[in-house]
Amino acid sequence: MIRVLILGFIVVSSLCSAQSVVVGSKNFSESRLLAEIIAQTIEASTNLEVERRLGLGGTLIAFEALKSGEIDIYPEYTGTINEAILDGDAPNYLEELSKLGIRCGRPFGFNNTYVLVTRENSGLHKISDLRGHNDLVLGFSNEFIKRGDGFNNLNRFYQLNLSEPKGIEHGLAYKALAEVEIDVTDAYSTDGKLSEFGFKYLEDDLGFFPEYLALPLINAELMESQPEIPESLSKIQISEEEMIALNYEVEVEKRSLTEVASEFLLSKGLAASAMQKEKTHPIIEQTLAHLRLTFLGTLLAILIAVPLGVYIQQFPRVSGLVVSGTGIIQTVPGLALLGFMIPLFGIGFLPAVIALFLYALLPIIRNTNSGLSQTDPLLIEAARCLGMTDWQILVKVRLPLAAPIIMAGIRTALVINIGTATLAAFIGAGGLGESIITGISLNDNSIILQGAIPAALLAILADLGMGQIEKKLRVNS
Amino acid sequence: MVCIIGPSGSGKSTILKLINGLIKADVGEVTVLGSTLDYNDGAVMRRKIGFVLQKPALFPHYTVAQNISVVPNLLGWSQEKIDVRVRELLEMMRLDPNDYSSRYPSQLSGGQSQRVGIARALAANPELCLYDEPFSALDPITRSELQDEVIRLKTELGKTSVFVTHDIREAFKLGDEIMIINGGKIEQQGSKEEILSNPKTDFVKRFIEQHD
Repeated sequence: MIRVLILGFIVVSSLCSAQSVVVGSKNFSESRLLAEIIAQTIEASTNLEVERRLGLGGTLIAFEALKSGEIDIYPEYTGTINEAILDGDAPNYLEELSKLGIRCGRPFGFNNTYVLVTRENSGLHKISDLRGHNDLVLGFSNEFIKRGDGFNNLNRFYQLNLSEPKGIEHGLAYKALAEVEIDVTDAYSTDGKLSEFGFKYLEDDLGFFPEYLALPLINAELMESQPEIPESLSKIQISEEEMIALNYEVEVEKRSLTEVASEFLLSKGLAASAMQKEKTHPIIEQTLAHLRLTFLGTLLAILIAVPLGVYIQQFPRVSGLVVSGTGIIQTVPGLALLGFMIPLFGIGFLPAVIALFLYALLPIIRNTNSGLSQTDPLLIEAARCLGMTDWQILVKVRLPLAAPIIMAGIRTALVINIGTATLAAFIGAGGLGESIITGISLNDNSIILQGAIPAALLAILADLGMGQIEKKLRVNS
Repeated sequence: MVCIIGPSGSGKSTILKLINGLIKADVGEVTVLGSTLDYNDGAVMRRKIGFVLQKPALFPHYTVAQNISVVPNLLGWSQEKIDVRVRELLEMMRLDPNDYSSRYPSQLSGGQSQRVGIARALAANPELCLYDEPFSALDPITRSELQDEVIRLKTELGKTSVFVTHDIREAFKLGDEIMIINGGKIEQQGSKEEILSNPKTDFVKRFIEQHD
């Protein structure tokens, strides 16, 4: 047990002390692709080691990771910086960011904003053309209908007087539009899938949509100590058409990020030779990382929860509080719990293990507690009559008799954790979730299954194995 | 051997728990084996007193041999000495050591369990042995067999024992001295003959008649 702990700390400390540039991305394919382009550019123009932490689970996780120095660079959009990160009322976002120790690199040159699209033959050209057109069926993504820079304000700004649009899942909207189920939908201007359909973009003739210029956010210290990094990144220039084509390669043609990024850089003369390295870790490595996370998290929980369960069992009122307290942790959604960890522990292995540790507490404490309180009072009396002390009664009678129930709690915790650990990839801790979230963002089921099947197998194996141990403990009681 | 007898709730078990220090006397002191009870060191003192419970209450996770060795283990006997003693006790209780040592309590009948329960109580040669209605849950034949065992042990080992029961025939069969109690008070104490020939109170009279 101690050896596993030590191993864990070695892994943690080596992650923390790595002398390399860490490039992060959010969990969608354009962000991943830009991060891969950034990473390869740095590799081509400096001697620095580049570590990739792609697919962080959302804007706030990625930004927190950058702020806390867990990652050094990630691609972001000016509109997102204003709206989501700085709450929309910062007069000068560059100044606000530099207060946080973050600098903006030169924008890559394309604007990934919302556009409204329609069929080629619709006779519409610009957004103003929609005014009063209540015969059109509007199908918008739910996010677009709700957002501040979405439908309602657009309707008001252009005085379109359009009635309430239909909410439609973004992934289905293009098909619905092509099949004349709807007439107008919203899209991201650099969406690779758009090029498959040949839709017409409605011109934002009054300039309603804010700019979403893509640019690298860079750690200020790194920018000063390694000036060649911002310099090399400033050479990356991508037009909207180029970005659409690149996204198309990844999303529709299902080509690997490494390949697409390397081809692009070659064509621009920014890299000398093609890179063929695979970007996700092999399944074996992911599985090992997954097991490390799960076992360490559960082991820590056992070390804390069993003694705690024993201790609080003497005080029924306290044990009720502790059990419901750990129950509350259990209700926090996995991604949210991981999100809470970031300001405290950064991203990567350590916060993931801590989150898994917290999840494992409830079943173990609860079962230790109830296992002990189920001891037959007659046996306790017998033990006392034979001259056992309270401690001996606990160690020789109550704990062995509660062992199957405690083991059942550990089993539950382990199986829950094998499932939950797939979320750890969202905060860059690796594991089988790496395949799953890559697959989700590329909309590629085969990659999802590469992670999901081993994870399911692990859970089943752990359940069976622990079930055997539990059975063995139960045999004689 | 003193048999304590009385109706439910008359305080029989309470007397046993006063003797082994599980209950502290509100007033006065309890003298056991020649010394006043020290409640701070109750567990150590209880190892010197054998105790047979109403239901045998064997530890389900221990084998028969491990159940019997509980007190010798607490007293830190060597394993060899314990092994010898376990064999001796099983033979004394007429259970074949080769067959029964490694069984678990779930593999024993009610009578066999209580035999092990008695062996466990006697394991460390206690100077005093307490029985808390040990045979009340057994069928009449097994009960009678075990009563005979207790008589045999009593004559062979010559130990001081206190035996609680609610069965007057059992009390008359086993007890050298019989104490009839009711509502926490001693109604009469004496040999079987004394009590039968000269019941001191109405309660004793009715109690004897009821069980005739």
